Amino acid sequence: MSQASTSAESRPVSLEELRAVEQFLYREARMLDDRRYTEWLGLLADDCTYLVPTRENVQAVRGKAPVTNEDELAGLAYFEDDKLTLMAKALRLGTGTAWGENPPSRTRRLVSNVEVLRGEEPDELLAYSNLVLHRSRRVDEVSQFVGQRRDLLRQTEKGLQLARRVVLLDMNICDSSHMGNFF
Amino acid sequence: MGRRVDPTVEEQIPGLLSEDGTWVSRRLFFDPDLYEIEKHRVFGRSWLMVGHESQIPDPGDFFLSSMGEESVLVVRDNEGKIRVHLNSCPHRGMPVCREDRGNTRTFYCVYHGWSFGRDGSLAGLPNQRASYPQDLDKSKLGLFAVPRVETYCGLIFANHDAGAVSLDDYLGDMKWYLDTSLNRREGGIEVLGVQKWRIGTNWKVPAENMVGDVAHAPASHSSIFQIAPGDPSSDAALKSVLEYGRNVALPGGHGGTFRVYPGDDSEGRLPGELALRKAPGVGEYLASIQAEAEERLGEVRKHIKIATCTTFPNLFLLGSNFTFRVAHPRGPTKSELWSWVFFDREAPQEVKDAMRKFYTMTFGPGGLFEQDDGENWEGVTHGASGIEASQHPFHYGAGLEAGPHPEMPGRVSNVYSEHTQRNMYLRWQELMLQP
Repeated sequence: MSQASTSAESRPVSLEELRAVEQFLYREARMLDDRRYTEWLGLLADDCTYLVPTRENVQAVRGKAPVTNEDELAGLAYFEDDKLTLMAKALRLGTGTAWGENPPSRTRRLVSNVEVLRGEEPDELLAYSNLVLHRSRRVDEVSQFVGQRRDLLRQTEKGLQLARRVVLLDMNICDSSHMGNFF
Repeated sequence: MGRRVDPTVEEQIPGLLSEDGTWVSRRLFFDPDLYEIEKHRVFGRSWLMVGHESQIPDPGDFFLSSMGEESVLVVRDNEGKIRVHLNSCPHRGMPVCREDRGNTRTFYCVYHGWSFGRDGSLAGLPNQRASYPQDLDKSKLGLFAVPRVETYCGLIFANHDAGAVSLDDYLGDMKWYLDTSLNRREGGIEVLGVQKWRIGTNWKVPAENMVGDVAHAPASHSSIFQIAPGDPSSDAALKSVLEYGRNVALPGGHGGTFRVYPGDDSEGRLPGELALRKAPGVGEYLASIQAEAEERLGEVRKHIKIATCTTFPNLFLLGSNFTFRVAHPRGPTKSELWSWVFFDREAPQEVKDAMRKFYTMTFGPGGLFEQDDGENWEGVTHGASGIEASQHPFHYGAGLEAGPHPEMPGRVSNVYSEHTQRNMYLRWQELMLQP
């Protein structure tokens, strides 16, 4: 959950690695927007974890440091998944009876501010990116989820795999009847 | 001060329900005039759940909550007493707390700098000498206290009606059932929270769902039964719900759907429940506490699992998913769901972790089940409100047979009966008829 350490930030990645991560994130976004959920599961490492915490309103103490993102994290997340539960959620969307997503939302994921750092392990990369998930449902319902992704990516024979994702959504309350889409 | 209510609406309240509650006017689910009256007659005089004691263990701990639409501050004072204050400065109404939780000595109004102690008393008044007479009665300028605050199993309830019956009497036989989740072990429960999300629905829609709507599960949640690992057919799970489930209506509008499992098994038969029991430590833990549960709850209640229940008006508890939640009204067609997860305080951490993950997998706005509930609850509200559609009342006629049970309090039926919903709406009407 913690911010990348200074030592990680001082370990630059190559241009090729940066490009590979960017392309991975864009491809993933297109996959999810196209509702190719089974394919998307193939991007996840077997030990993948996926966390979307709730965020509280916290007041800075006078004379002390500003409130950090970490200060705002509450004890209960919106999502606290592993590969198995992500599979359950993804497979559910394909049953034809996941009514909250049937008829499906129209989604568009805009991924930007991609920043890639070297991870602790030689085959690992840390990627920060910003996400806007624009969602249009039913006739005129529009939701927007905006946040920061903190991803741990692993270089494997099959290409890059997502080993950890933490998504800090910029909201105190989810202003929508469901969060049935992946961030 | 709310909006002005059409005076003829009051006269229409008796006609909103048929005598036995089988027919309920759709206006209950969108009418702004009824909503305005509800604020006073339902939310102004019911015991409303505002949080759990374990959220504020120490003096100065506070938690920002809500009673109906109104923001309230739940705080533990220096003596350890729990107080509930309106979150509104007595001077100009500015909220004196703009954080979700924390610990503080004083609540400070950022508008003019008035400050208040944990007990709500006025602690600081800038420029007092220059502005006010020496004999200013500061006791009249503290935070407004919600007059009644009482707890049950650590759940904190507050009531705006100083003359209300005690919480104990208000809950009545509901306690017999709530205990099966909240009071299984010495030390009770502790909680984590809060997931919050807004649904375009009237608060009574989730309330009637939780009070015993089992009939929605096979249709609404069929996707879960389709993907459940190791149990591709939904038949076994649904059969167990029918076989072991009981819908219970209680005085006060409370009710729920409960499962009475046979033998020593109190921990559920649904696919998700079975999977959870296989998580490290969970099955062993649940089995290991049954002797203590029997000692505390007795032979019958040891086997009871709350599927879903509603404590009137807007507190819901799901025993199998370790959650309680409130639907705060936010307008005639808007509700804010606040959801907590709970577990036995004395449970091992790995068991708490497994239960927390099981909850977020299944419930909350991203949960396997609850995604589709939100869709339905918005649909009901939208579908109820058409000019033509709203002329036709909803039918709550399923399962007219319900009666006393030898071992369980309340009127008891099979799970496909809507008598718990009729009971809830009749109680609602009773309150709405009392000026």
